[in-house]
Amino acid sequence: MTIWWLVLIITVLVVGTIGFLWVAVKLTSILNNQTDINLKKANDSLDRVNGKNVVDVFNNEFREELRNKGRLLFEKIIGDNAMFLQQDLRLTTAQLNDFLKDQISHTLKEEFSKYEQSISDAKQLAIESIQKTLVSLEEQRTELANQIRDEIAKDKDKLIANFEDHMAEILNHYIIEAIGNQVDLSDQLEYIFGDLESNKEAIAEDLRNGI
Amino acid sequence: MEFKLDNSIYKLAQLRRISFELNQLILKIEQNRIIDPNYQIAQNSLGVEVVKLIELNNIDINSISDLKRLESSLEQIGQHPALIHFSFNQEADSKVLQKLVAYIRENIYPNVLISVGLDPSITIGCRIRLTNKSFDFSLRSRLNKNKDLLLDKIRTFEG
Repeated sequence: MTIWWLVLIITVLVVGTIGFLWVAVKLTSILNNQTDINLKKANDSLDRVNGKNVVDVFNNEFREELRNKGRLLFEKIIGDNAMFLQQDLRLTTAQLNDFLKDQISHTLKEEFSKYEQSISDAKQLAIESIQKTLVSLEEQRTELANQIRDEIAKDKDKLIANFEDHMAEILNHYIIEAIGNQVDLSDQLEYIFGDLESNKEAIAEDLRNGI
Repeated sequence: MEFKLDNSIYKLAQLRRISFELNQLILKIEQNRIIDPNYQIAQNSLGVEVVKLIELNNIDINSISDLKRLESSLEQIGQHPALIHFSFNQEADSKVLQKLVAYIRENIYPNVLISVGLDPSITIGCRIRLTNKSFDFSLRSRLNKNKDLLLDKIRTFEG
């Protein structure tokens, strides 16, 4: 879009310049014709006024002077118009530069902002994805920790239950290993007498029934 | 007077042996009194256990009737013995067994006889076997019975 604008503006300027030059040439020719006509009129009037020979008054020198004056006037006009054209061109060029600058800056800003937005969106997506992954990992970690804790508790309970079930055996074996050979029967008699005393009625009854 | 067994006599085999010995003694006295009616037997010719039995029951060693009464009592015990089988984790010497028998005869049942076996699985204590029942007086059995008490103590200590 902006390139087309640039082309359009340059085309307008070129056309303007050509038109101006054509107008200048045309004006010059018109001016020359007008000068010749004025000279002719002047000659005719002088002839009529003076009754003299026109050729004597409007001699070559006078014509040449008039031509020079016309030429100078034309050159001055051309110079002024050229200066005006130059100024217009410079102004237009400056305006064109500013316009291009603005357009390019605007376009670049738009593109950069879009790029920044896309980067920001991508970053946000990445952050969300990472957060979701973290949440999922945390849930899995918690679940795994709970499972491990439950397994450890179950194993612990199993060990404790096993120990409790076999505690008598364990203690028995420990005592056998520790002091099994050092406890004499005579030392055990009091222990045995205690048990016999506790069950003496049952023992006596069975002995009576047996006999 | 109630017949009593000496505590040194605690096995059925001993009883039968003593009963046989008494029987032989009676025969000897009867045979000798055919020749000599005043025949007296000397106490030192008898076995130690027989002597103890005679002294404990105040038996006249030269009275055939007393001896026969003693023999009859022994036979009666031997035919229907009050027998307790003990299982220990080690060999029991006779002194220990005599103390054991003395306690049982004094507190539980008189004239009990015992037999002894070995059971290495018993740590401390014993197992006894009667005619119709058995009792486990081992430490393992007591630990099993008091397991809850031990667990309570452990939990109290942990807590």
